[in-house]
Amino acid sequence: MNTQEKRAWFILAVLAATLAVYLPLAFVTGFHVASLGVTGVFGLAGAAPLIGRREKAAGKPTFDERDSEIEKAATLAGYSIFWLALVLGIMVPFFILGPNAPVTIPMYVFPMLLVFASMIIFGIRALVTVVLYRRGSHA
Amino acid sequence: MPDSVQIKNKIRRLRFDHDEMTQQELANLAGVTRQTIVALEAGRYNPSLLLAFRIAKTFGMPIESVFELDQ
Repeated sequence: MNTQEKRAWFILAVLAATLAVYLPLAFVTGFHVASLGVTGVFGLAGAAPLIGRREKAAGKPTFDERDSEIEKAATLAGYSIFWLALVLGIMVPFFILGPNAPVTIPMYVFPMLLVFASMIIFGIRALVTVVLYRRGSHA
Repeated sequence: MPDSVQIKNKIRRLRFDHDEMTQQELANLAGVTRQTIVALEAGRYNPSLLLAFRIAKTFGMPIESVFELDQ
């Protein structure tokens, strides 16, 4: 398995672990704001670049033009889906509540948007990476 | 040119003709990962012109002797 593929699987595993911890806790606590704290588990995904260091140190090529193409396509997919989610997240309440509806948003929502944005971008990117490594031509 | 056009190659055959060179050895000489050689041999990846030249040079052959359009 390629280094990039291993990293993608690692990120997917961390994302699954995060959701596995967060969702039951959120249901048990009635989606209490404190349950959002466990989404910090997703920060472990930041350890993904540590994968493949041994191969790199051994002088083996670990990243080439095919990896670059897959990375570009996966990153584009990740940001595209995030953009779609952002547009829907803004426009759906707009059309449901109307343009003059008073809405109060607690401040914790803003940092949580960053967490969920990271989950969407890195999760989709990892998923597309895995799919493209297993599928046909990327050229 | 339609996207469905693939590039055929004789990499697997040439590896065996060159003292049964392993995929890893070819990958190291061409500066790519072994998985890319696997994908090339399986016809799942169309190489860049630069990589095609590097692989052809590794075998000491002109590029058209290693790669050809599959029409």
